[in-house]
Amino acid sequence: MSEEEEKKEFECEYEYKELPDGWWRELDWILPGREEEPTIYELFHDMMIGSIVGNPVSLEIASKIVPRIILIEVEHPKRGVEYVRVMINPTDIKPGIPDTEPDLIIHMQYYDFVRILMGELDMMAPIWAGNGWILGNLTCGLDLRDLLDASTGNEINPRPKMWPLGSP
Amino acid sequence: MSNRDRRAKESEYTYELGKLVQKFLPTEKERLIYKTMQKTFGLHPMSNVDPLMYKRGGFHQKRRKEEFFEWGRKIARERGIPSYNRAVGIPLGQRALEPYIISGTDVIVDYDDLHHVNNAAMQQMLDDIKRTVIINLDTTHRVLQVRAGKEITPETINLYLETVQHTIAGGAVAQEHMAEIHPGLTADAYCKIITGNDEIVDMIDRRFVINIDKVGFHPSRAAILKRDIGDTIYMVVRAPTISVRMGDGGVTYRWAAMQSSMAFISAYRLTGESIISDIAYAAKSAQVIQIGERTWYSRARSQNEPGGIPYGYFADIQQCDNMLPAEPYFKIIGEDLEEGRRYMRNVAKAGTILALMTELIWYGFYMSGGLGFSTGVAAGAYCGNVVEDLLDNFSEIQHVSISRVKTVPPRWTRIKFITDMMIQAAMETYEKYPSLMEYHWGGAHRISLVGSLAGSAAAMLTGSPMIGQMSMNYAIGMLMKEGWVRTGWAGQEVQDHLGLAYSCAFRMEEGGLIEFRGPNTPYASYTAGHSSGAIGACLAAQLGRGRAYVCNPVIKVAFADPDLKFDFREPRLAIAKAALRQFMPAGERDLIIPSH
Repeated sequence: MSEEEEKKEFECEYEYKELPDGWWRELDWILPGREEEPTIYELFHDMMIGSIVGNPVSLEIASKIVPRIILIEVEHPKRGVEYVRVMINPTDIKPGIPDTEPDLIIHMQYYDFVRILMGELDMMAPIWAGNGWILGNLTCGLDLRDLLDASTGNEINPRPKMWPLGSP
Repeated sequence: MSNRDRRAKESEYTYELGKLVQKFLPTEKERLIYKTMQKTFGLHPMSNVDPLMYKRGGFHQKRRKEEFFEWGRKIARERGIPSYNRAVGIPLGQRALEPYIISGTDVIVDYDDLHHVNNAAMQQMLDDIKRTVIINLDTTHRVLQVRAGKEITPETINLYLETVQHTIAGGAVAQEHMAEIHPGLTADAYCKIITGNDEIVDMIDRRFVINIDKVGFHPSRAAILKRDIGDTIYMVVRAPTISVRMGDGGVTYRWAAMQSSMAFISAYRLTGESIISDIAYAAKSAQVIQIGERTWYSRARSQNEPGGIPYGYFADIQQCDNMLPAEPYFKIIGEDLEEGRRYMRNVAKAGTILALMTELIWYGFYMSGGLGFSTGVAAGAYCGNVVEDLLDNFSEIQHVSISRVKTVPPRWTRIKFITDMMIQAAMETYEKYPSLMEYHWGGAHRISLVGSLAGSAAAMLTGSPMIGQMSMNYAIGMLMKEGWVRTGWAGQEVQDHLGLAYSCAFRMEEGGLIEFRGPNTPYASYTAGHSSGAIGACLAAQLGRGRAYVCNPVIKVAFADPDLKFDFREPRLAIAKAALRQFMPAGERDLIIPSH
């Protein structure tokens, strides 16, 4: 392999992009009446109600997961950092940070996360591209990824044998 | 606050990890590690209790210990001075003296059989490396043509090669006053040619060639090796085992230079001209590839000793990856989990040589005078199917993580989380299996093994040994240190704290290219448990890039030679054979001592 080919080989195909104004009005799972661009809390809340809860596959997955606490922190280009903490099994979503140590922290750009929720981007793509990071119990990350994949209609990857669904 | 207003509090939802694990017993029972630990201890491997403790029969539970006991008594009787004596020290065998299953085989051996002094294959592996040097013949041929007016033809090269087999074994060619060596003592000494030019290979007597196309390389690898070696002619010299056993690795290049020069004198009818000094200089200095450099003064050893072998050379000496196609690993693991596993398993197999050469032989034996401890650290790499199990899991984790990603850029920020993920898997495994904790009874075992795996896995994904080494340092110095509070023996993680930064440093005191570092690199020489990981990172990075060799194609081909005593392609089988006392080494002296 030549040097040029090798360089190309290692280039990352992920590209960060911001979405055009009003993008949320196009999504059927966003609750009606949102005039402003939703915060990460509003977005995840609407996703949970409008997409995950109504999806039988997501529900089945969620029923097998042990209690999880996930803190998602996103950087919005104008509004700055926003937090939402998500509990799975039992389900609860609140803005801000949790009252105990979360199982997993996900840090990303706001628009990357929106694209993940829309099923346009794989959850791992921004991480591999270095535009985000995750920290903590990564089995929990697999749980969240399975849930999102099911709700967006993406194919669900088989789990590693080490960490089947429901594994702590 | 009324119940209506009450919000869920995260801290109210906890679960008991131990109980949850029981739920996944059927999954655990499928794991290689479960089956192996059950076989090893004869108990439920996830149990915290050994009901047979103190009832296992002491040292008599092991045949080898009984044999030692008998021999100790025999020696004491014969010489009148006590020797091995089970009446002193702690009473062995109150716990299980567990048998060791050689990974990837069904061979079960006693732990003592894996001690380097008890295992002839391990000794031969070291000897085969120490007794090898490679001489480039191009300068010599040029000198013969230009200065002596000799013609170099296939016939003269073949005559020279026939002559050098005689001289390298200790035969005289130029003066009849020379004492000769009994050829039976040096039956393992010979020389062979390596070249990338097919025409030259065709013209040379096949007994004297390591033919790259015929020594087990995958065709894609053979093509790369031949292209990179080119038309140059190298001669691999194997000095006899007995020479390095009597002297040291530094004997080899002197032996090779002297005996190959004598063969030139004879084959080309040279008579004392000054060109002989050119030939000798080429063989001794200008055109010789030593396997190892001299080490620094406080650890002074000669050339060709394990402390001076660069990591990249170690990675080329092992031959376990020869049959793998030269394709970048991240493509393979993204597309085909089983094929990815095959790559991983071959890295694991190679780990046998890496761990033995560095942890057991260099740090354990040469440096600390090791009498047993480092046997266990090294055995972690090739016994109990532990590495296989963890790497199988790592492959799955990688497959799941990158199957939708097109590339894995060699950047620390990208690779950190997957290192987290893999180390989480490894640490969880140790916590779930008390039997495994007992099997790898020291922190050094655990950190060297898990650190090596982290380094290899990261390097395989990215093709970068630097990322691999950073991943290893991070896994040991941060993840395992924070997770378990301790690592190995005191201060073992010192080099991991330095290593994160030093992995990227090119200043002499700090490192340089990782392939050219070695156990002799100042910051890497503090303690054991790390070199095999660094070598693993170099080897894995080569697989990550889809190349055929790590550092030097000639070294790679030189150790693919099927006539070597130790099998660098199947090291575990050779060691298992030796543990069962079925491996025949070289360098014995039966011909010159009384029959016994």
